[in-house]
Amino acid sequence: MKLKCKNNYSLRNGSEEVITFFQGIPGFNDQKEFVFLCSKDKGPFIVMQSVEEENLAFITINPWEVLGDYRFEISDLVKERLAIKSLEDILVLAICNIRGRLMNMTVNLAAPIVINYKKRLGKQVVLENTDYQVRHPVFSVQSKLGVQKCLF
Amino acid sequence: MLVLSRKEDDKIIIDENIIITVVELHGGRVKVGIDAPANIEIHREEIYHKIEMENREAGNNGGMVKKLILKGGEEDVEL
Repeated sequence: MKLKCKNNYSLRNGSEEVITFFQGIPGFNDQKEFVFLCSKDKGPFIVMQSVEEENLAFITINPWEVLGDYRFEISDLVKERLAIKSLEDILVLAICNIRGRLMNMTVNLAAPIVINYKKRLGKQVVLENTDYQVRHPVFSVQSKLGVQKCLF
Repeated sequence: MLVLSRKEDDKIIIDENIIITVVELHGGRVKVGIDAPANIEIHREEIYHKIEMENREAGNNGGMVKKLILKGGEEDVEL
């Protein structure tokens, strides 16, 4: 399993692929290690799988797939916690949620997952004073994604 | 829980480097100022709680959807 990003960095099989979330994520503060799994032919989604708890997994997506002009600030606190030296070291994902129909899938743009893949550290960043929604529709008019592209 | 009674402009010091000031009391609202080191994370409880709730719900259905997404093998994906 690999997760390849634009600058051709890959997360490979083995222990090094584990990303440590020192604080867990809100609601799952005891889950500190995740791996990221993806499948090209199944659309743009990436599975964020807990190492400890097999049944705990999140569907994530590159938020810019949904909202091309998505922007947020990486605060000094986040830089420090994730040991970020350069913005090129980071990947950003957002957690999706499905309620009933796939068409109704939403993505949490108010709390992106930021990963320093060089240091293998991750954190869900709860944005303050943001207009982005916790439940932003994935398949909206402004979204580049069509539901037919996502081959479930 | 430690409960302290404070008036406007009064402060509370936590662990010597976090200072909470009651900036303003008005109409049932209190404005609170927080001076804390940059490595201390501060959130409005209801915002953090909303993210917690959303994560719990997303985590519950994630296991099912994971199987659908990963069916057919794990391959590279461009981010």
